[in-house]
Amino acid sequence: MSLLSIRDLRVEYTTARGTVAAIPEFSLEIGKGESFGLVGESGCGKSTLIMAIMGYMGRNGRVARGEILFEGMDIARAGAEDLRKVRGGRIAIVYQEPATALNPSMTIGRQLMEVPIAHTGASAADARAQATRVLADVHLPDPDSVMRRYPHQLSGGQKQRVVIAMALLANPALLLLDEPTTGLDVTVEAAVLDLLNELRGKYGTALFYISHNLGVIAQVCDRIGVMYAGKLVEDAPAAELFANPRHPYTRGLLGSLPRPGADKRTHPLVSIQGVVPSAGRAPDSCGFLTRCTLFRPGLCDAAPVPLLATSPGHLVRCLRWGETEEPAALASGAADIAVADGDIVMQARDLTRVFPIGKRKLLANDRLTLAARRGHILAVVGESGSGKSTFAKVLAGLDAATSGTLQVLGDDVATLPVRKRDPKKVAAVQMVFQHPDGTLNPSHPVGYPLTRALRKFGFSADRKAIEARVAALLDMVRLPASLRHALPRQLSGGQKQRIAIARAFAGNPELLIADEPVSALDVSVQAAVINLLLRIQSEQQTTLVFISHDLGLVRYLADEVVVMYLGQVMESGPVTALFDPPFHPYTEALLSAVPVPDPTVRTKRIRLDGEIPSPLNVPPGCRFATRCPRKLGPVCDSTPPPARDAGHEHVIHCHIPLERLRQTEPVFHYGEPSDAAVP
Amino acid sequence: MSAVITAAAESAGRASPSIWRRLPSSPVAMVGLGILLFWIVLAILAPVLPMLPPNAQDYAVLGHPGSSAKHWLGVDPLGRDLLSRIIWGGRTVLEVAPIAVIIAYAIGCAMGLLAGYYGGWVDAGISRASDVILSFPVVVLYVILIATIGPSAVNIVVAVVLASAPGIARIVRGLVMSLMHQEFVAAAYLRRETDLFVMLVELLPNCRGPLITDFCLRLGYTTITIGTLGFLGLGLPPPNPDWGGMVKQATSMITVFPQMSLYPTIALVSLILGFNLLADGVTELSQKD
Repeated sequence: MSLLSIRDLRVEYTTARGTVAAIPEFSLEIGKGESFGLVGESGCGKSTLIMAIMGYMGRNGRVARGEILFEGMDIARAGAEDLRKVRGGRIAIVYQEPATALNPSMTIGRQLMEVPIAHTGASAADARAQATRVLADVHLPDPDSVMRRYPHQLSGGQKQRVVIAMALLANPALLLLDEPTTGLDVTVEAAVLDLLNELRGKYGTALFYISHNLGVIAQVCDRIGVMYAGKLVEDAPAAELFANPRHPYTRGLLGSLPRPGADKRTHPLVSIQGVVPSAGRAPDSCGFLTRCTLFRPGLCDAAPVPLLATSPGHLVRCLRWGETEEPAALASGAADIAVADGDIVMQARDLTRVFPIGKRKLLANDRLTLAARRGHILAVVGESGSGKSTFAKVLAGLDAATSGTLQVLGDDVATLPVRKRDPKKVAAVQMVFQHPDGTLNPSHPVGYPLTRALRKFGFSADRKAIEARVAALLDMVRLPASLRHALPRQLSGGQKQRIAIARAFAGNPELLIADEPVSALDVSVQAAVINLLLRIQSEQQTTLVFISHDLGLVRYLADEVVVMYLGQVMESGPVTALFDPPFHPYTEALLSAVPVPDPTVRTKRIRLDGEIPSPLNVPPGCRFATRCPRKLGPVCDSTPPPARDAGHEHVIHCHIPLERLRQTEPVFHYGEPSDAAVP
Repeated sequence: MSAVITAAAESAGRASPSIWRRLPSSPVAMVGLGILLFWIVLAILAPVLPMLPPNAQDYAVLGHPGSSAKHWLGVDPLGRDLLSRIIWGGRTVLEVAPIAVIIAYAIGCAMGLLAGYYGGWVDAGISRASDVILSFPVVVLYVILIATIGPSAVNIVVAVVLASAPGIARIVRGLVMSLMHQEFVAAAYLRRETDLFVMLVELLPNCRGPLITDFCLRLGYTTITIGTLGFLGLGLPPPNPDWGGMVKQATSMITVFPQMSLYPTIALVSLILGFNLLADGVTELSQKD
């Protein structure tokens, strides 16, 4: 008997514009102890489904049809008292944002103790013992001290561990996870995923994991469902889904992701055209037909498409699943190391940015030395707090360095904010920002930043010439010219980022800084925006400084990579050299933490202990010494590491001799099934 | 400077936030607007309405000052027609209040923009000066001011501006400080825009939402202020009709002829209610956004 059985579920919301079916029809079975992952982009109804399973629909939502049977009880029709017993007791949930899941005014201990007291009527002493034990289970160091602390005294990763501990306290049969690692750094995410896999074995809890990230799902789940427009479009065992994706949407999602071993020349990303329709707006027959390349009129739009079995255990909601071609085999192993050529456009030497905080000093950038060549893509990677965004700001002229030199297009601009720089070179250095919602002024139509930029860059004084150029810019980013009169709030996130790219390219920049330009976008949109950026970059031979935390993406698009940690460069070199040994131990750990959307790729497991130290109080020797799994000894703590040249401009800052670094085993092994995905 | 203004006008012309256009969908706002329009129409038509002059005295009816065919709402203690005085009094309020609030906004926005944008000692100077003014009880402040500079329409405007501008500056300062870190402001710097441009074109238009609500509310407060000042004898100099002054004049007879103070009070309350309902409606609409 299955644990959770959703049959023919229809969830509706009442809005000012009438009734909207957020989930038109949904059926699913989850067995005891099973780990099921549900993938889909934002707006596909994933969160609505989770809320329905918790019996928590809000005032304007209701289950219009069908049933949600959990341990034999229909949650959709259960009374308040029954639901109270189930929630937090038999079904627990972990949300995306750990900071808001915990009460900031109560100690961790009190919040945890509430669970056994409320659900099993445990005594205070008993509850305290249980809470301490479960905190130890989620590998929080010194559980007794954590019990006495308040949420603000913990880091994001620690808070998420506390939330998971709280969810497990009542020993639930089903744990719902709604993007639990989305806001976390990649090394922390990897540790949380490990934890979930471990606890699943220990507690025997069934997992229902929701994410937009196929890589993350691949690490935790046995079975994966793909949701689109409120319907399950594909349902298969994890290995089968990655090996033989059948639904065009699943294939699109996988094609949108850079896979290890693929780069922009050998395997361009394939994006899905269009955007997810708003709730209730998708066609009844096949919700995906408006974006599908296989759409055939008269067949696909005739009647609602049922779930069809392609092989035992593999269901797909597509009439033409047999015509989806076999996935292309991935190239494996190292590609040739590209020879560095082209003159140097940007060169930083000992670039330092110190923020005085009272009497203390925050070292955001500490003696950075790096360079970018004309027409190349330089990726700067690192976790939050590594100082990569500070570097981007100094480079753009939005902030000024404290010391060091920064040669950009022949001038030293290290301490010059943009207004003090050569006015003729303003258009030559531009930037694309991270947040689609903040990048455009909500009060002005989207054509305005383009017109204004052209005017300020002295493109032309003639209104007609400017209008024509705006139309050309919009065409360059594949947007209709009529869109220039729209307000930013009428645009989707991807469209806003396209406008931001058009704005940056208005004055034909020589150096473009892109600070996490796609990290806030949905997967299918990410691929389209990246493709667009790369096309324009290579057409115009622009030098691109690409700031990112996503190593998969960096591997795909960069020519050179700089790995930063706590304001310093750990390793730099050509992308092909960086992803194979010799590695800096930090790079190795970062690579190992990348969630790979492919169970056939086996990843070496390296996990970092502790948290990134505060930039107010940096370690005196190697910055990474406090967390380094390959630390040699006291020398790492006391002496800054030497720069070791591995050839081809590949430089590693580490005390470990190069010969030993060369002997390191590669992080990725291709072609064998991963033990992480099939436990 | 002129380029800044042209650009501001251009963008304002094309952008259609149109909270005003969506106003009909809020019943609360429509009731408020209806009350306001009622008074505005009466004020505009005052010179052409077939009414008695507001300052003409009719001693014949002083014995029976209640409603009559000649004086629909009766007369005041000096025998002047109440209806006519209420309508002409409304004219004064509807002139003085908007003028005072608009000037207060011009000064308050400028102060808030400078304080929020530059921070540091500019902010410290402006904010401390505002705090000093805001720390006075408003009525005391008005009494001191008007008693010093003398009661007149211009001086009421001066007093209202002085008392309101710091509050407006505080709102704008807070909004500017949160908007400063938005990426579109950074994008403007990368085009080498001037500080003035960033303040007026990039920042100020985005303060619109909270400011529209505050503007309507502040019109209501100013109406209260004008009424209070009139009641305290610091309003318009006699014999000009002034709602507050009319209430005050009739208080000595409130037990005998309550209608004499009741009608101007109703006028005052309805106008304030109109402004407040409009503010509520606008808030509700902007939250729906």
